[in-house]
Amino acid sequence: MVTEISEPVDVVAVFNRGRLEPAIFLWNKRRYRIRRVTNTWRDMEGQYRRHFFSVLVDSNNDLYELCFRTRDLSWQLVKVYSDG
Amino acid sequence: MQIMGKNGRRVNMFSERAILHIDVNAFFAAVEQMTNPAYQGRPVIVGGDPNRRGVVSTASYEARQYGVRSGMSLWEARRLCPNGIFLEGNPARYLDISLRLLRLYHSFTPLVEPFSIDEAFLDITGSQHLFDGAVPMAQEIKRKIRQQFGLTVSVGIAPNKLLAKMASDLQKPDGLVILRKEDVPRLLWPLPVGKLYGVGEKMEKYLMDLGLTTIGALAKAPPQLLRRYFGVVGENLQLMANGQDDSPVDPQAGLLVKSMGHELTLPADTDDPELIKRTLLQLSDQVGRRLRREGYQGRKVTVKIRHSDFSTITREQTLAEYTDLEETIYAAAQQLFWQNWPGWPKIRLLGVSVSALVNARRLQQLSFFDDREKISRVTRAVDTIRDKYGDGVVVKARLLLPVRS
Repeated sequence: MVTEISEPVDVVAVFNRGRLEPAIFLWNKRRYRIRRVTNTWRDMEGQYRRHFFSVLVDSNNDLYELCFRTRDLSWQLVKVYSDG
Repeated sequence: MQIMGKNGRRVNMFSERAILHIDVNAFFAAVEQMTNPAYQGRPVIVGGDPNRRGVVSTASYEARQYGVRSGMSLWEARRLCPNGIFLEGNPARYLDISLRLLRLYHSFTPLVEPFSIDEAFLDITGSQHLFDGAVPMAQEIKRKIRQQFGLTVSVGIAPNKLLAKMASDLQKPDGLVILRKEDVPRLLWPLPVGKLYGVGEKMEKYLMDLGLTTIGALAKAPPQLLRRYFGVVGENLQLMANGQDDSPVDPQAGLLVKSMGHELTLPADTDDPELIKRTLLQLSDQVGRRLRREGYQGRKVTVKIRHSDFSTITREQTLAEYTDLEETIYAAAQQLFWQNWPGWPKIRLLGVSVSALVNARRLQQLSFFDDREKISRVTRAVDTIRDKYGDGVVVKARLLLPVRS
């Protein structure tokens, strides 16, 4: 089941040799530690680039889709995929 | 013939070319399975919600075991595979991965021709010696795609594009097939004629009616017979059935745009004139925007109408002048539609496209006699806003509200 979230989240991320990788995100007063980034892709929002990350977390088996918007350097939780 | 190079590497001295065709296996479905490990090993069908209308775009190999195929209606796919995972798909994600794959191919040779979002031809004649030949190079490409993208591909290696494409089709998924000209009688000739690249459904039927049921039968058919029934096309088909193809791998080929169009399957079959007008306007708006963004203008407007019984017609009109304005495209599309639709049967799908394209920058010419320059300036101002902030920020009021005529 896919749930559209589209809410701002706080993210701890690592910038390493031109790569950006989220490590932890905070959503609904809970902390999610990212155990694996399964896929990344990019698109354009007008003239600004958006970076997308599909991630698995330590605490459950859901898949979370995060988006980093270069327009205002903000992070968003876009969707959650629960295996139902 | 292979000889040893200065550094001890074998150098291919074949006078013929070495062409790779790379086809990503079940691309959209494989990307979804890679993105979400919960989908791995399960039947994934990309195309949309099976309770709505539409067709299967890609089915994973697990779904294909149930008989699900690309192009099949989602309803049929759900019937065959009720436990399938049906996904809407994510075009931005597929496009980004496709572009990254092309960048990877470019690290092996500059001669890369994108053939579709999940296929490409590579001419490695000049660079294969860097990898001790075509096969080690193909293996390295496959390894890197698996490692960097988690995807499997089928690769065909051959002396021309046609055979490379046929070769990659011979082993799926995760294939690597070498097809030489001398292999054509053994490997290709026994195949049904419809398997020959370039033979569509209609041509297959014509050839079958002539008793040419296999690629081999086509290869050996009397040339005068093929010429009589199909003209030059027949001669070309026979060359292809014999494995001959001289076309180059052309990195510019994908950049030559012949037409731009959009089409939309309506949420339900309709005969509502207001919904039809709004849909034509939306499609014209999308086409106009794309023309302007990519710097083209066109003179031919085509409307595609699919009825509820799936019968489909296309009608076109040549304009007096080249255009990239949705108002002009919309006016022509409207005229074409209403001239060719008597009010029934209901409409299932509409499409609008513009062809006979030229580079618009060569056509900057002011018109003194009407409002077109003014409309053009407004359109370009809207484009600038959309370029900066995204497509959704400016929308025609007529697209938000029903049109009152």
